[in-house]
Amino acid sequence: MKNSIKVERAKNDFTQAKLAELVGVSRQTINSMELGKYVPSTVLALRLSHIFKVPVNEIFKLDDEDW
Amino acid sequence: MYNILYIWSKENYIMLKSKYLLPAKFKKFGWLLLLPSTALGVLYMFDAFSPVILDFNVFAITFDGFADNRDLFGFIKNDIVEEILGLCIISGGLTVAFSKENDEDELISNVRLKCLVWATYWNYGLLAVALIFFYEFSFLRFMVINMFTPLILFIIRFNWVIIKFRKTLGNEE
Repeated sequence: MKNSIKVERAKNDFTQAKLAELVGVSRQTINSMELGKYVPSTVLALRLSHIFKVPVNEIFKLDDEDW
Repeated sequence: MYNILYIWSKENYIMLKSKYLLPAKFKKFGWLLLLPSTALGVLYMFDAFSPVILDFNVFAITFDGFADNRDLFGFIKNDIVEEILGLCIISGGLTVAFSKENDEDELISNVRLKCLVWATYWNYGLLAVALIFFYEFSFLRFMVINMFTPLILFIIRFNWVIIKFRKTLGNEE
């Protein structure tokens, strides 16, 4: 799964630490998601969507290998 | 706006946080209980440590020996060192294993679950090896150790993974 967390974060001018605080996870979780190493729960995905004011499926996109 | 959201999300976060885990501050007490009792347990096992002052009459539900007769509900004289050490290792181990990390979140819960699966496989893998190759007293001794290996394996694996994980946390761009 691909995601545009890093891009959205840059648009909003958030650091990883700030975003982590806003969505209630640790910075390493934000880092792992940006690196594509961790797929967040639906709750966390919706929180990110809420913070970025962007629909979830614009932040997260399925890869070919997800099918 | 973000502050409100932060408070909202914090409260929800607490609600969503894993059940069955102890507060993070318990962890150091767990280590204080686990490490000395494990060290004494190992010494006790190899007969390097055996206080005799702890012989007590204890209540037993069952206490059959090597003979065929089953003895139920009675009092026996017993060295309670094993019981004390065993309970200390178990309670210390459980506390270390299942106290939250300071930054416990869904990713760490995910790591925790994976490490539990890993520890369970290895525990039974070792037991399978012992079943095939260990006999008589050696097997009995292994079974005693095997009472604690699920916790010990989990603690080693989980801490190793978490430490490695925190080290690889790259600098932010």
